[in-house]
Amino acid sequence: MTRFLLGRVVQAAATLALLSFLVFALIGLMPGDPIDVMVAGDPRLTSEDAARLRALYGLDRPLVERYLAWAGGALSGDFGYSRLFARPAASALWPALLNTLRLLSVALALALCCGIALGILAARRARSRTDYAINLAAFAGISLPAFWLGLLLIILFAVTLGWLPAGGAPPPDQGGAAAMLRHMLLPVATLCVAHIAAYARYMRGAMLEVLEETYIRTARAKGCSTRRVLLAHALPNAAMPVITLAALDLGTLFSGALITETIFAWPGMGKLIYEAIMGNDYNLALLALLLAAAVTLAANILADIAQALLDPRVRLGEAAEP
Amino acid sequence: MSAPGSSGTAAAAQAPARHLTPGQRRWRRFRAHRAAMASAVLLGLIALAALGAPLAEAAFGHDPYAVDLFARYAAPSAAHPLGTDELGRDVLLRLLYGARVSLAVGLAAALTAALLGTLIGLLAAWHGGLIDAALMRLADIMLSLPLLPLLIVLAAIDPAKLGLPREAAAFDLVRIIVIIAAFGWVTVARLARAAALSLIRRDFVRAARAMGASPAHIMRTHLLANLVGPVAVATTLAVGNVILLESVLSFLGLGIHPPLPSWGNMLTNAQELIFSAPLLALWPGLAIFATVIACNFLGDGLADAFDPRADQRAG
Repeated sequence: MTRFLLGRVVQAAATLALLSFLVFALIGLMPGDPIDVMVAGDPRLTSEDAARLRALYGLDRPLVERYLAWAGGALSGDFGYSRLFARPAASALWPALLNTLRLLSVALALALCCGIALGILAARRARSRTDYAINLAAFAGISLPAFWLGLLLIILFAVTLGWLPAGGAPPPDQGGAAAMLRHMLLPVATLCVAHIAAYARYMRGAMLEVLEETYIRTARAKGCSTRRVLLAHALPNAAMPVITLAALDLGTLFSGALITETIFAWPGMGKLIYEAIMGNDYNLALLALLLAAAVTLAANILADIAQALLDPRVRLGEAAEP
Repeated sequence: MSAPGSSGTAAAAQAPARHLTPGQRRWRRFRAHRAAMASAVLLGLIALAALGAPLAEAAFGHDPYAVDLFARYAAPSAAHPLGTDELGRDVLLRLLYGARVSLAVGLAAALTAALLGTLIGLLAAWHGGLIDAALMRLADIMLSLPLLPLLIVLAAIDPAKLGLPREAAAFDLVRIIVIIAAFGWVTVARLARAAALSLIRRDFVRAARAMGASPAHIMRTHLLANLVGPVAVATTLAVGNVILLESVLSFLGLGIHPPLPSWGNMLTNAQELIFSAPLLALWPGLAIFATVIACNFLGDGLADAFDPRADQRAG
C-alpha cells in the first residue's frame, strides 16, 4: 500500500508540474498583458517605454525561459507578486483558501447527512410514493443550474423577504458566529443541492444492493427490527461507497464553488480564481489554479485511502485495474 | 420504432414476450419509463420551438436583436408575451433563439465527445499494453483536473494571439464546443474501453477472429454495435451537462457573447437587475432546468431500455 500511495503521489506531482506549464502557456494567450494595462493607465508611456518595461520584466523572452524562471522561484517558495492585491500572491491566497474551506466543509457535511438520510428513506420502501418523490427531487437537484438557484434564493430570501444578506462575508471582527452563519446559509444551500441529490441516488442504490445480502436476511431472521437492520447492519456497508464518492467530490466542490462564490460575493478561492483570470493577475491566477488542482489530486488519493481503510476487501495496488 | 399494439400495460410487459425483437423489447422498456417518455416529448417540443424561432419572429413582427430603449422592462403583453429585457428586446424571441444556440452547443459538444471517446476507448481496448496504459493515464489526469477554472482559462484565450481570426459569433460557438468536448471524451472513453474489453473476451468475438475476420470488421459489427447502448445513454446525459456548462460559462461572460442570445448569457445581467426586474432571471433558468432534467430522465429511460435485466426488475 505504501508503494502504491508513493506512486500516486509521484504521479500527482508530475501532473501538477505539467499543468503548471500548460496553464502558464495558456495564461499568456489571454487578452492583454500587464504592460498593456500599465500603458492604458498612463498616457505618457510611449511604445519604446512599453518595450523597455517588457524587457525589464522579462516578458520579451521565450515562453520556456519565462516558465523556468517562474518554476525556479516557485520551488523556493516565491510565487511572484499579485497585481490585484499588491502583495505576494501566496499571502493573497491564504484568507481566500480559509473562506472556501469553511464553506465547503459545512456544505459537504450537510450534503452527506441529507443525502444518506434521503437515500435510506427511499430504499426503505423501494417503489413506494416516498421513493418516487425522492427520485424526482433528486433528478431536479442534479439538473438545477447552480447559478440560477443562487439567483432565485437571493431574490426570495434577500430581496423579497429580506431575511438574509444577499452576499459577501462579514468582516472577521464583527458579528461573530451568528453573522457568519447568516452569510453562509444561502451559498451553502446553493452548493449542497446537487450533491444531496447525487448522494441520495447513490445511497439508495447501494442500500438496495446491500439489503439483498444474506447477512441482512440472517439479521431479519434473528428478529431484528427493521430500523435496526437498516441502521446497524445495512447502513455501514452501504455508506462506504458514498463516503468515497464524497472524498472525490471534495475536488469537484472546490472548483465548482467558483460560481457560487462569484454570485454570493463570498471571498473564497473560486471568486479569487475568476477575478485573477479576468483581471490579468497572472501570478495569482496560476497559483490559485494549481492549488485547486492540488486539492483535487489530493482528494482523489484520499478517496483511495478512505476506501482501503473502510473496506478490508480493497487492497491498494493490486487489482486496481479491471 | 413500431411497437405491436399500443397498450403497453404492466401485464404485457411482464409476459415472456418471446416473439419480440430486441429493438421492440427496448422500445417497450423505454415506454414503461413514463418520465423518460414525457421528457422525450418535452425535448421534441423545445427543439420544435427552437426550429420555429423565425416563424415566431415573423408572427410577432419584431427582431430579437432590435434594441428599443423606450420599451425597457415592458410587462408581458400581447406584443411581448414575456415582456422585454433591459435593452427593450423581446424576451420570448430571445429565449427561442437562445434555445437554438444552447441546444446546438449541447448536441454538438456531446456528440463530438462521444465520437472521440468511443474511438479512444476502442483504441485502448484493442491495442492494450502501452497505448492502453498511456490513454487511460491521460483519462485519469483529465478527470483529476479542476474543470470549471480550466474551462474559464480556455474560454478567456484571445484568438488573435493564436493568429486566428476573431469572427465573433461563429468563433464563440466553435470554441465552446471544442473546449467542452476536449474534456468530455474521458467519460465515454472509459465506458467504451470497459465494454470493449469485456466484449473482446467473449466467445462470439473470438470465433469471428478465428474465422479470419479483419480487425475493422470485428470493431464495426461486434464491438461498435454493442457499444451503441451505453454510449447513447452517456451522450444523452452529456447533452444536459454540456448545456449546464455552456450556461455557466456564458453567464460569466465567457461562452457565447451577446448580442447572440444563449440561455446562459441572458442571465448575465439578471443579477444586477434582481431588484428592478426579477422576472428576467426566471425564464432562461427555467428553460435550462427543463431541458437538462429532460435529458437526465431520457438518459435514465435509455439506460433501462438498453438493459435487458430491466424486464425482470420491472413491475
